[in-house]
Amino acid sequence: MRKKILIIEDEVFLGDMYITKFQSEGYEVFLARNGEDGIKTAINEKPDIILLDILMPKINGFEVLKELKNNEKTKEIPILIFTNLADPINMEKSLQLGANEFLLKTDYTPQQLVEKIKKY
Amino acid sequence: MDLDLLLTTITIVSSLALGILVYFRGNKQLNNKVFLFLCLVITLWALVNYFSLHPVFADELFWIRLVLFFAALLMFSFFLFVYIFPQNKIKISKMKFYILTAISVLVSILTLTPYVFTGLETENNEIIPISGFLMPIFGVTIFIFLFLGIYRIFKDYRLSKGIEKLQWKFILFGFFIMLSLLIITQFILTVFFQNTSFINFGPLFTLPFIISSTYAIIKHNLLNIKVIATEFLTGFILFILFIKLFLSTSFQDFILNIIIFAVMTFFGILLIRAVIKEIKDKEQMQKMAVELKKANIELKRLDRAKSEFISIASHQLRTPLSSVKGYISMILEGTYGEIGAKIKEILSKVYQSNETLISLVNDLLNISRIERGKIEYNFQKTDLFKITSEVIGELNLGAEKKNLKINLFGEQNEFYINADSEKITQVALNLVDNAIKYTQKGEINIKLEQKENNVLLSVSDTGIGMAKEEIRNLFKKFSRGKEITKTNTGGTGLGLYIAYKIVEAHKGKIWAESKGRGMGSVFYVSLPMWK
Repeated sequence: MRKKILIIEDEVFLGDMYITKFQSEGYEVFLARNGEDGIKTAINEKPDIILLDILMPKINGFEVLKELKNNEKTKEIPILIFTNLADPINMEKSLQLGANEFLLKTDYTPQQLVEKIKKY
Repeated sequence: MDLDLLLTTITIVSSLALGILVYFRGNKQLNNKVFLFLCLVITLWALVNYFSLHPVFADELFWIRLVLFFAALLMFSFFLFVYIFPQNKIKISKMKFYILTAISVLVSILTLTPYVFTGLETENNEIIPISGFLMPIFGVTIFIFLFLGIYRIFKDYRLSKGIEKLQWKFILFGFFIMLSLLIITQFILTVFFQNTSFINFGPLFTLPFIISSTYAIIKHNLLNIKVIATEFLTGFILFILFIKLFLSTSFQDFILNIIIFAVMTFFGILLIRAVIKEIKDKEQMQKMAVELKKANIELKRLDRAKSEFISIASHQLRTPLSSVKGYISMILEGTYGEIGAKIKEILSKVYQSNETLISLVNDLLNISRIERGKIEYNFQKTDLFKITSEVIGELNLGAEKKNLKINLFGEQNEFYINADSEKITQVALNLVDNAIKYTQKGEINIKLEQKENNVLLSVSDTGIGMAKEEIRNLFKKFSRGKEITKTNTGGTGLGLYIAYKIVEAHKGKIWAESKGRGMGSVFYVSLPMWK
């Protein structure tokens, strides 16, 4: 069975790029362009892994993370914070809220990201 | 000099002196004019009071009636003062003012008639005035003015703030002392108990009010109790010495008392000035402390705003860089189909440039954090040899591609330092990476040794080397050696500055040596050993 990945990312170019890459790697890809849709999709589709951006309009990644970790249906799904807001405070906050990892976008090519995700 | 004359003289001199002082300090303000009028009335009241006890030109009854006349005027002038101070304008309507003035004038005139004091009788050698049927009118009028005055003082005191409140406090204090003494000695004892023993003290009892009002009007350093206490103590001593002048028993005694009075006045003024200066300096310091605190709060706010801006700015810069990185890498990997070798080569350069930009943003953010002291160091026992080995492991591939050999000299578990391993790794990475970048052929030797209480890491290469002037600016921001344009390494010019700052935070030293251009370089890092 194909693995499901949910990408919660508001930036259009990046979102499309990751869809292309993960689909080419055989994943079933869901893309949410904002936090609210991300939460709904996570509950409905129950992906195997979630890639979550922080800086998004309306509700930010931390709030989405809190919601998902408090929801019975989604709390076991591994969540990787994938952002360009790289400072120690955000990193610590993410891990405290239950994120599995904190990744800086500019550190990873799509291929390197795929390799990272494989261990989940 | 007899007691009555002494008390009268003191009252007259003090009232006149204070009234004149306040008038001339006042720039013709209404407050000060009314206060002078009040002091003049007190002066005249004191004078007629003396003559009521030691009549001249007329009998006692005449002078006693004049005492009441000026007492009525005194109540009215007191009322006037509190209804003008400190705003310099009357606080009631003109109509009310005229009515009250008319009543005051009428009652004052009535006191000169036989209907308030009808006559005098003698009892036990004391002269006692006999009240007439209009005495109650006089009494009621006095009380009305008194009541209106007290009501006004309390109202203004309650509504006032800051210095004005303090002024009213002073006036209230002096007023109550005066009032209590006057009512008891001049009215109750005289009218109800026919006791005139304290009549002669009457004018003297106005002084507490006059002195406290003078102080309140001139606002002389009202804010500090130390100054007030010093001034009152000095004033009191001078007052006693002044009285002593009149009690001199001989001419020599008088001269001596004058000298003592003059000397005490001089030193008293010096003392008061010194206390005032001390208080002013203290207030200045307190003011500066408050301003400093405000500035500090503002600085912290600006710092937070700057942090947020830098965070957002670096995020916004990184977003398009991530897109470029991602898409170019996917094109190079063939995700969008095969591409020609030439296109691949060009895109590789684009990718490399993009990576340089990403490094630049990272470095700028790092520097910003370092310079604002926002970097947190996690100091622990760290094996520098282990870090160096890991760094070499990471960069070895790049060295091998250039046919460069990296040699490491040292042993594990022998070079422990107190360090944040992540940050020191950054330093080691930078030095070894630079050595690889700026060496075309030969080898790179990395050595660890103990020197006194420090661990010395040296990275030497057979690369392009540096001239003396280049070494001087090496650890500054955006400095790069002159020869680097020939090597095209894509560096940001910030790595060594960041390394310098990190080593500085570890209480270590970093420096470089080179025999000259084309003769290789050696970079040294000295860090305190783990104890």
